Amino acid sequence: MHAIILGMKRINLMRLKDWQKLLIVFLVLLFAATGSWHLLQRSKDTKIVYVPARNLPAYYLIQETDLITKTLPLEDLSEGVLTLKDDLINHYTLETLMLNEVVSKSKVITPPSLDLIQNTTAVSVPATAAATFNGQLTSGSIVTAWASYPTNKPAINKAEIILQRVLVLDVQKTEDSRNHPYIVILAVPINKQVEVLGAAASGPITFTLTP
Amino acid sequence: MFTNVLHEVTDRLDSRFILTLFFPSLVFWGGLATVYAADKGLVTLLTQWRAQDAGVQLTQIIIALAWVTFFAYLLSNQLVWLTKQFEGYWKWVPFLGKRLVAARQKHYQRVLSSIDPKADYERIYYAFPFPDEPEEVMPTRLGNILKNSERYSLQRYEMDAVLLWPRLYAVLPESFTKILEGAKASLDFMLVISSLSISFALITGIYLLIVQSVWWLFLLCFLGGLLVAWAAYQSALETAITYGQLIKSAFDLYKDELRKQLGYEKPKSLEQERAFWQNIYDLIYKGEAGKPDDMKYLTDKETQASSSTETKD
Repeated sequence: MHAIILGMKRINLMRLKDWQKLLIVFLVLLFAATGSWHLLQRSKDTKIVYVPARNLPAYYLIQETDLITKTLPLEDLSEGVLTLKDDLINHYTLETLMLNEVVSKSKVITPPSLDLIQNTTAVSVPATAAATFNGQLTSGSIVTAWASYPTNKPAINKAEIILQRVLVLDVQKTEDSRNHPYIVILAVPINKQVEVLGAAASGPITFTLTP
Repeated sequence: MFTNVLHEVTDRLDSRFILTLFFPSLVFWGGLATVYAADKGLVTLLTQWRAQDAGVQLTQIIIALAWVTFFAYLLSNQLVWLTKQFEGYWKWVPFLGKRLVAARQKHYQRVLSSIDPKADYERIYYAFPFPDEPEEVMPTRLGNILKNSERYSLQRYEMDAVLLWPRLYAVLPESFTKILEGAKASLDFMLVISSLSISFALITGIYLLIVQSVWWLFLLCFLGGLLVAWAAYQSALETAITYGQLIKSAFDLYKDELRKQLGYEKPKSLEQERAFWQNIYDLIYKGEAGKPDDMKYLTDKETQASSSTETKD
C-alpha cells in the first residue's frame, strides 16, 4: 500500500504541469495521424503492381526472382497493363522490359500451356514468306517445325519433323534478306536447340499449324 | 562532465560489447532491412536472395556482419556523447538547444521547489533524485539522477567527484567494480536501445512517407519505435538510480582507502575531512594545497600497519 502511495505521488510529481512534454507527445501523435491519413488517402488511389527488378532482355522467360512490387497511382495504370505476379511469371518477353517500368500486355506472350515454355529457350530461324503463311503466323501460334534435307535426286528434298508442338514467340520481318524475309522466334526445348540451329543452317524450315 | 570520467568503466566492458552494442545494432539494421523488404515485397526479395549463388550469399552475410560490427564500434565511441544527450547537454543544438535546456531546467526547478526535502526524504533520495541546488538542475530526469550522484560527494565531504573518481576507482575492490560495471553496462544497453529505437522510428517513418508505403506499416514503425524508445528510457532511469547509488556508496565506503593510498593521516572529524579533501582538490587541480600544514603524511609504521591489515583481509 505504501509503495502504491509513493508511486502515485511520484507520478503526480513527474506530471507537475509538464506542458512541454505534453506538447511533444501531441506533436508526435499529430505527425503519426497526419502521415497515416495521407498514406491512407494515397492507398485509395494507388495499386501495388509487379515490375521488373532489372532490365529483362527480349525473348526471356520471366521468373519470380525477376520481379519486385511497386505502388503506383491508378491514373498511371493504363488499360492492358499487367499488374499481377501470375500475369508475368512464366511468360516470355517480346521486347526489352525496363527496370521498375510497368509491363503492358503487348510486351509479353501468354503461353497457351505451361508445357510449351518449360525448359525452353528462344531460338530464331529464318523463314520464307510462305513458311509464315504470308504473315498469318503470329506470336502465340503453336506449330510443328519441319527441316528439309537434300536427297540424291537434285530436285527432291526430304522433309523431317524436328519439333512437334512448339510455341511461336514472335515473327519479325527483316529488310536485308531476299530469300528469308522473316525471322520466326520459337520457344525450343533446351535439348533441341543445337539440332534446330543446325537444321536452320543447312536448309529451310517450314511450319505446319498445330491445333 | 562526470560522464567523461565514467567512460573508463565502459572501456573495461569489452566482454559485454556483444550484448550491449553488437546485438542492438544487429536488431536495428535487421529492422531497417525488414521494413525495406516489407515495402518492396518480402517474399519476392527473399526469393531473389535465395536464387543467388551460395558464395554470393555468404559474401553478403559477411559484409552485413562486418558493417554491423563497425557500426557497433562507432556506437561504442559515441556512447559518452549519447549519454550526454539523454542527460540534457543540448546547448550545441543551433537555435533550439539553449531555449530547450532553459525551459526544461525551469520545469524541473519548479518540481524541485515543490518538494519538501524533510517530509519527502525517502522519495527524493530513492525514487526521484535531484541535485540539491536549483542552479544545478538538468533538463532531463536522467541528467538529474546522474547529477545527483555527481554532486553527492562534494556536498557531503567536499570531494570533487569528477577529479577524484579515477583515483577512487583504482582502489575499489574487484567485487565492487564488478557490480558497478554491471550497472553501467545495463544503463548503456538501455540508452543504446532507446537511441536506436528513436533513429529507427524517424528513419523508417520518413522513408515510408517518401515511398508512399502502406499506412499501417508507417504507423507501426513510427509509433512502435518511439514506444520502445520510451520504455527503454524508463528502464534506463531505474538503472541509473541503482548506478547513482553505487557511485555514492563508493565514496562513502572507500574514501578512506583512497586517503590511505594517497598516504595521508586520517582526519579526526567531518569538518577536518572536508578541509582535507578541499586541500587535495587544490593540490591536484591547482598544483598547491590551500592549507598544506593540515595534511600530515602517514608514518612508515602506520603505512605498514594498514598494509598488513589489508593483507590479513
